[in-house]
Amino acid sequence: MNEQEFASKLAGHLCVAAHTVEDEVAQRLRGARERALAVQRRRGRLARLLAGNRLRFAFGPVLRSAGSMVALLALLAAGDYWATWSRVASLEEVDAALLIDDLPIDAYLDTEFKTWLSRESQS
Amino acid sequence: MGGPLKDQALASRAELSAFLAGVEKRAFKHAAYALRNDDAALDAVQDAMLKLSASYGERPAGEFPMLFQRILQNVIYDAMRRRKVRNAWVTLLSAFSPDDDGEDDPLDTLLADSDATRADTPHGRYEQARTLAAIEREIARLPHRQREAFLMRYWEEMDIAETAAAMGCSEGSVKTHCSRAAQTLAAALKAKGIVL
Repeated sequence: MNEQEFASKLAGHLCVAAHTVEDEVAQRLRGARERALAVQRRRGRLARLLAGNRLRFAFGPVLRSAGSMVALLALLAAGDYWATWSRVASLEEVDAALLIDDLPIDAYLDTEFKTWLSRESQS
Repeated sequence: MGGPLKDQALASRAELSAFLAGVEKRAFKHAAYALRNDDAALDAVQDAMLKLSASYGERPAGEFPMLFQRILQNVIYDAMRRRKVRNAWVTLLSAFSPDDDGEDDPLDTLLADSDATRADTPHGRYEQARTLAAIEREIARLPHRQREAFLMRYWEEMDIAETAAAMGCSEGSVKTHCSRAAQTLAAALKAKGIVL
């Protein structure tokens, strides 16, 4: 008889032994199983609560207003960035024109520019 | 909306219930061979069941056998460690007390065993009970790792890979443990004149 055959026969005897446990032991095992299943039921309910509709009902309005706030802040930040960028771009154009002495004629007709130029050259 | 989730939970619960119902008595015996105490074995099985359902209850049913055996082995190890510590204290304290009560007489165990197999049934049942008692006694005598591997492999019908995963060792070790356990058991039963 090889190991497998011997072990199978032995396992058969062990199954008989397992099925002849005392009633008290069998009852206590049943009680343990029911307690274990109750634990799983509670955890399953909690998991469904977190994953299901109740989560959306509980957190839906909060999530919606948070999303609106984020969108508004993003819009304000984008507007500010664009305004800053366009101001810097126009100043760059004037600076470059001053440096290469290539001011348009409109600049000399602008009285404020003349005043600024004379004040800057004196100082 | 919650239908599929609920159906899945119900299927999972039914599968877990069926698995636990099928394995509980074998698990009890398994723990009893290791711990040699029915109450401790029941506690170990209950602990293992609770841990399985609490931590892995939603896993696929195919994973239950390996997970449960692994948890059960860990619980048994914990119980053995606790008992070792307790016994160390008891030994230490008993050295200071008079030794006249003799509570843990090894003969009690032998008497209990012989009570369990007394011949008040027909001859066949008696022979079967005697054979079962001898087999269980020899299994309980095996080294823990050999017993663990042998029972998982041949009683729980787990394959070598699953047994190795549950025991946290290599597949080669599982084969070695099983082979040694089978040899030891075969020799011990043969010496008692028991033929399977």
